[in-house]
Amino acid sequence: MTNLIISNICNANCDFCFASSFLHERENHSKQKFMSFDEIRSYVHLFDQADIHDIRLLGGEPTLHPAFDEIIAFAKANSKHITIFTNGCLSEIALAALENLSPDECAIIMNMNAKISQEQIRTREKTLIRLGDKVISGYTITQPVFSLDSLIQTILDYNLQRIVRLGLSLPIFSKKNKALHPKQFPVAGHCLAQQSFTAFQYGIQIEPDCGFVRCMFSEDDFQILKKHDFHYVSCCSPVIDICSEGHFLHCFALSEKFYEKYHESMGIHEIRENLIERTNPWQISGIYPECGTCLYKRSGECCGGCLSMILNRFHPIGNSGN
Amino acid sequence: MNIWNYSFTNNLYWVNDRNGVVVVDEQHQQSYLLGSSESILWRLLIIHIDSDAIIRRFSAIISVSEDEGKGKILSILSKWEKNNLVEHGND
Repeated sequence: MTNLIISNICNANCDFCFASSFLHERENHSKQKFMSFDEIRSYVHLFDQADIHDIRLLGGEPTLHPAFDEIIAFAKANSKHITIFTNGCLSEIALAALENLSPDECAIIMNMNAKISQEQIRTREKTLIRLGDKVISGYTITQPVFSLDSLIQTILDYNLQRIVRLGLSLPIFSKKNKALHPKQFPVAGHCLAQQSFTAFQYGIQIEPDCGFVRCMFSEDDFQILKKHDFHYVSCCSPVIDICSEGHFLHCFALSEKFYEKYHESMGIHEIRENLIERTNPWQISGIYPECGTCLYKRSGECCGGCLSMILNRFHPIGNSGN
Repeated sequence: MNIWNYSFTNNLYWVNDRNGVVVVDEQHQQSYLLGSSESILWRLLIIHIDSDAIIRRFSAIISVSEDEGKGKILSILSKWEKNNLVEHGND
């Protein structure tokens, strides 16, 4: 899997966003708001060579791309499955471009706790009505105590796909964004176990994104979650983000440190392997000082958490960090 | 660091973990979990105290004489030099 960052701008203002500072810098540096259609076309051909059949469009807000409808048509003409990560405030053109695609052809992962205006909430409702069967709800945990009740209600009201893609608000390495502190994880873990009762009751599956650690769940909570089809996975298996001008990122959270400039001699998979290899030395540690002695980490049941959190714990010496 | 003309190499990052100091050498793509006396020495070197004070405190913490402590420090620094964590400057 690989993400294409086709827009450097967004019409929401989420304080937990881990893409915004990077994209602002890119926009200021290159004066480019969007990836050009030519560049998108060339990456799709690169996907063909790498046997990648899913085009995952990200931003910023990808649907703001002025050629969004053409990109969708191009992806469809090339028999690609399309995944879009959006805040749901879609223009009529974007809605029309996606409306005729079946859920087999397209998945819309919608950030349901995006910080948007009242007017944008009404626009999003229109999106939910027209594209609901393709929408997978995304929710980012920004507080240790949270509720999925209204999200579950929205899923039922608009007949969305019965999946919640659950993320943790994670820090961007060397930048500032709103992120959960590792000390808050156990409370969030307990809260999640409690929320899972209602989700399970309505046949809604909660799928964890990256950053979860095993020790954030007590044994009791872990069993509750297991019973409710929550498939805990703790690994750092990055989906490479491709930005304009050939920048390949390990992930947004580590965009300051782990990136490669595209070179024709390397394929996508090779670039990804290189980026993963560069992060390997850091995996010796974890998000807590106790991770080094933890049996979950030793057995591979836990990877030690988000690398960005791990890197933030380290101190540089001398000329490090340049 | 200020001891016998040794200095840390560049691109090193370290963190205090429960099982010891972890050092990442970014340039050589290596990481090390330092042993207990290595971790003690690392922490003393990081706070930039002078070499006499380092020998005194290190020896006291690991309960050996200052001569033995000095020998132990030299052997650790030599091991670190082989692992590219420190380099020895010429006088």
